[in-house]
Amino acid sequence: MSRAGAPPTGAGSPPAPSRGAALGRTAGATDRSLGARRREMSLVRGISTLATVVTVLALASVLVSVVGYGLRGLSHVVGAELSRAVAGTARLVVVACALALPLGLLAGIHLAEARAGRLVAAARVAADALAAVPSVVFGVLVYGVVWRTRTGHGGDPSTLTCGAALALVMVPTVARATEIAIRGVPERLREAALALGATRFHVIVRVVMPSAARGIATGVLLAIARATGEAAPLVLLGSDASSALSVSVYRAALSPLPALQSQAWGLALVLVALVLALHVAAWLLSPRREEHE
Amino acid sequence: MTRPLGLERRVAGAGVVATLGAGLRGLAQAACVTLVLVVLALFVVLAARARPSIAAHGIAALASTEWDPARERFGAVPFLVGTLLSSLLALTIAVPGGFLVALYVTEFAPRRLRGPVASLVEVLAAVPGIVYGLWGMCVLVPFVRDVLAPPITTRLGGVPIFAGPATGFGLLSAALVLALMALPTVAAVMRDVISSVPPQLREAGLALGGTRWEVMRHVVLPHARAGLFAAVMLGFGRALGETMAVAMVIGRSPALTASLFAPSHTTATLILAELDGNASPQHVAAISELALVLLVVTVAFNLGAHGVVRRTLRRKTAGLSTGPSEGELGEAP
Repeated sequence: MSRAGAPPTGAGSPPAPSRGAALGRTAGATDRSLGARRREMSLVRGISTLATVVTVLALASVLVSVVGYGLRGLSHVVGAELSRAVAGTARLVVVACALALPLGLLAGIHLAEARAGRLVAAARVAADALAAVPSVVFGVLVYGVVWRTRTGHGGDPSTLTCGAALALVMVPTVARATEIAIRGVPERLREAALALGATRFHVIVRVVMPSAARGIATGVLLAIARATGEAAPLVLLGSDASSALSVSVYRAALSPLPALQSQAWGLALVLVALVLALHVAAWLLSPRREEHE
Repeated sequence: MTRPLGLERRVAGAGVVATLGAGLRGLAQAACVTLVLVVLALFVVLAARARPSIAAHGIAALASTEWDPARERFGAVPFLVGTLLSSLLALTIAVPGGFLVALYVTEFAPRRLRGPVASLVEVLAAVPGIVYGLWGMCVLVPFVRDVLAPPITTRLGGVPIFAGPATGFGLLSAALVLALMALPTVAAVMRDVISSVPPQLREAGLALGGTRWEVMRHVVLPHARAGLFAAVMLGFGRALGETMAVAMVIGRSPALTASLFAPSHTTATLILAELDGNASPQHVAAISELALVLLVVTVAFNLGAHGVVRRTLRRKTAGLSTGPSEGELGEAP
């Protein structure tokens, strides 16, 4: 059957005999003893197991350090400073959401619903491009714009300035999640609504958006998690430690004082806990999870 | 069945609904236009900021190795080399590593271990770069300085790339941190790609008597090539632009050195370190020019990778209905 098809490099359409020949020819499988082939396979198994063990150990070392040093460092963290930094992050995320969500959601709706055209193609390329841009470059952009309007610079950057940089980080994630979630809505729901006499507007607002809501919310939470951990554009714009949790980790880590370095671990633990909580929330909301259950 | 869609309330005001519909469509279109304009603004603003530097020194200034803002020397070679070397080095570790982890998880791992290994890898893909930087500074840098480097620098110190002394802060530490950050993403995407290969192909290979590795090597991998390539490109794009984690372990020195253990700089870390209120207008222009280069390279890279994947998928979907969807490959969260 054609469904069993062939990979691009495969031999061709009549699958079984030619595939066997291809496998035999390229692998030299038929020339070698079963023992040699088994040894090759256990070698590969051994190498991949070893690589996984090393990777897991290295990654576990990151987690263990964050938790171990973090719990010890928490005692050095001054409560008032921590709450100021967390409040700063919350403020920035709210501003970033206010800018990024309308833009990302609407763009995602258009990408999913509109017929293919030049604008859709351009917007898709733009979203891909934005997702690829290093966050520090967003910082340079905002810096360039602000520098132009206020010829004198320095001083603390405004919440709006930093929030705008974070919004740029969030937009492509939100737009793509919205597009994918809307595309996942079954066609029959749309058709049913249209058959009942709903307009395109009603179909989108009352039928498509509610059934895509969980997928969109997952994407939004992941975007917020990224913005929460983001530090490069904020540091570039000259934020101080009280403006965001991620910046406070950086500023404390660069200090030569051991007490402050220990504090950096405590702050990092709080940051990781926040980001992971957002990921867990996203996972709980994810529509994919229900399919697995 | 009283109010299935809440439509009947509005039936009277069909004109209102039409207006709302047009409004929504207009707003959605406007959002797409804004998206395009933002990307254009990135290029335009950076180019405008960089213009004094391009006008004064031309593109050729980038090709010089001397960076001394006080004397208005803005040669960018050390940073471009630093970015390229650290990313390439990171990928030579992360790509085989990520592939082997994906192979282990999909093929060899006992069923009980698959879940935990996959979750650990996913959790670590979510940890922010700044935390990897902190770990690199406090755990990896001492490890490189005290354990990894001494035997190498004492025995092979004569070879330029292994020259000491090793402070721990340098290109190698940056590459190792980058590799560890890229590994979870590369492994997760590769695992998705490998497990999206239709089981019929795999089963056909096994039924012909292939070992699992032979089936992997000759059936699964050729089929998954485009997706694997995309995973590598994604990792590379990320590594080129990663800023915080690298900045904390690379030692930040604008001198061009051959040694893996010597302090270095990348384009991203230079931007972070030197773009501030104290920079002179020429200095800001030179940094903006570097940012423009970084922007062009990362965007070109990513769009190129997307293009290759799209073309391969189109060719492939002619024969097979299943395969990695574009959404899966688009962006690892």
